[in-house]
Amino acid sequence: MTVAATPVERRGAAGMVERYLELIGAGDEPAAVALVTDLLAGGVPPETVLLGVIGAAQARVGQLWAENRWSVAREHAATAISERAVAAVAARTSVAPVRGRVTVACADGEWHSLPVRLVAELLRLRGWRIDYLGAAVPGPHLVTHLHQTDTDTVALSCLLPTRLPGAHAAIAASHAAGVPVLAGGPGFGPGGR
Amino acid sequence: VGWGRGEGSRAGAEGDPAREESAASALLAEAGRRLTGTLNLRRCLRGVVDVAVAHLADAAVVVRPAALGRATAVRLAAGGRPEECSVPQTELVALPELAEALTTYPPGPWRRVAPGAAPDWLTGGWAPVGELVLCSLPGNAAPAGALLLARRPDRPGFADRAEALVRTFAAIAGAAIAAAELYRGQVDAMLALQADLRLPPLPAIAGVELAASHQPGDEHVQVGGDFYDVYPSIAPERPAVVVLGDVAGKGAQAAGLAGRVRQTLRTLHLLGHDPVTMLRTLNTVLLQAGQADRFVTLVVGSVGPVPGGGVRLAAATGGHPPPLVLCGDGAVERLPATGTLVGAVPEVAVTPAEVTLAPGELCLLYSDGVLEARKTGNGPCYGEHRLRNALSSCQGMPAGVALERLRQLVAEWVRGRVPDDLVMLAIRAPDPGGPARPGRPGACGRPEVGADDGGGDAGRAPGRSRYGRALP
Repeated sequence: MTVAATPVERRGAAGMVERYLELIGAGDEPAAVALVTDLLAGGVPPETVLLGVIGAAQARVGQLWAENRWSVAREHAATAISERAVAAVAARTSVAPVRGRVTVACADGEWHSLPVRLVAELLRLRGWRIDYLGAAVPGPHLVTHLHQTDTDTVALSCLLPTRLPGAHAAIAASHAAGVPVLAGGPGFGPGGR
Repeated sequence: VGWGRGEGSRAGAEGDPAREESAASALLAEAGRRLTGTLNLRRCLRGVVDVAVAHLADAAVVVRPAALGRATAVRLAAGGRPEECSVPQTELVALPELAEALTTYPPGPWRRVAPGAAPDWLTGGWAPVGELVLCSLPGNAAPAGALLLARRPDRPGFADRAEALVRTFAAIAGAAIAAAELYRGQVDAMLALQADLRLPPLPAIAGVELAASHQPGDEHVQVGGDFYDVYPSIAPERPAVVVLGDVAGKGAQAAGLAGRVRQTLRTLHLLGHDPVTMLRTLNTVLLQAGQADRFVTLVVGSVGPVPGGGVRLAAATGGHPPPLVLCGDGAVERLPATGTLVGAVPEVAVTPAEVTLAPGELCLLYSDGVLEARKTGNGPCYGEHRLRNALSSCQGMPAGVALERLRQLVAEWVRGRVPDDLVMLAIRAPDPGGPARPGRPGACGRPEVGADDGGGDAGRAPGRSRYGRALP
């Protein structure tokens, strides 16, 4: 998926990302959500807010945690705020579903739900009807959902290579149920491939 | 409208016994692969026309028996995409062979239909059509639908000896459609019944941070015997009440009893009863219901903010693991409330306890599915020791984040196996400073020492207790 550069990105998305990162790092949910909704109100496209601000800041959160500069508690709290920020974007952008239905899920054992939540919101903005199953979806739960809904495609996310067996099982089971799978995430290799 | 050639009607297969046999095997193999794996009606219907066009015809339609006055159909022409359409039931009589195929059980022989006789809604305006055959798709003691197969005029027609193969395919397709329909009917009924039993979104309680987490152990029903509920305050002097419990049994049956228990407790709360009275009365209610093995373990707590910050929780337990308190210094303690199983014997012994949570401190109520989560069938349980260490590592986290982390740690312990029902409820005293603020002295009487302390009771000043016993 590509997103065209917008004025915010040209004029200093980096500054906006820094500001947002500061707020979520301080656990200031109201201010972080306000920043995001102000950007939307100012005409910044929702895809830019989702990927260029929230997504970019969360990539930094991951680095800060990996470098041991942020504690687990701080990283979890920041990510929880970003989930709320994404929900705020979703609540302010309504798009009629005209293209089909996608079930979005993380592979079994895969707990990083924010990236796949961003994918779900992007697909929704582009006219897909979304069933968002969230983090660590056990294979049987996924297949039960597929039997019970007229979904066209499964979008499956896997961030860690150690979760690939769960992803493989989910893909095989979805195919057996007659549903094609779009798989992605760094777990599948560089660039998600 | 142009339409392509179906693979299966490739000229030449007919008439050569060896090739006919191999084509028949390929059809049956693909029918098995495509139609036995799905219980979804829409994908199943699409699978039927897909396989028919790949192996039997240049175009195919499945018509479903009318429901609520309308009949639906899925049609596919080779090289095209499946199309769905819906027509009034009265249209069906225009083609007597179709009306017959949709009402006759057991199915009769296939019928040849004059190409001009089929209405456009049925064929999607394919033109020109060479030959058309129609056969019934047998379902559960009634037709599951009718299958119309078409071949272009420039192709060999349907040989009489092909009927046996077409009817075998129709039997497989009919069984798959009927199974998907039966499944959908049961799912609809189950969803309607479980709507009332679903665990509710949490109401907001002023001055108290609440979060809940629920993972049903049964992938077929999204409800179970573990439950939580929160009843808001009904008067200034009556605090809000939280409950979390576990009904004996599993799945839908347990969920039914859990629903009744929640309703009973809500009523008792509205009548102004305290947690101990609620437990005792619930015990009587369950005993009078007269089902000996239908007992429940639970925690009932009244909860509300205290002036100046913090949250007071007064809890009574009935045979349930006591709530755990995550103190400001990272230590984890049991709330010393005890009580016997509810719904088993006439007299319940209840010793309630209470605690005041300082800002940032958290109290965890949980079902024993958390303790009993196992790596393998007879491997070690997750257990209270691991749960306490895990909870200790949640210091400084908002209630919802802490629960998500605990859920993750338990799931990692069972390594992808779906554990028993898991229900957790966290009550936290809001911390205006937020999680990133450096530690301050907690109510446990010791300055915060950081999340790497490892938790447990190590370092706790001996003999110090902040738990009261007085209730209500």
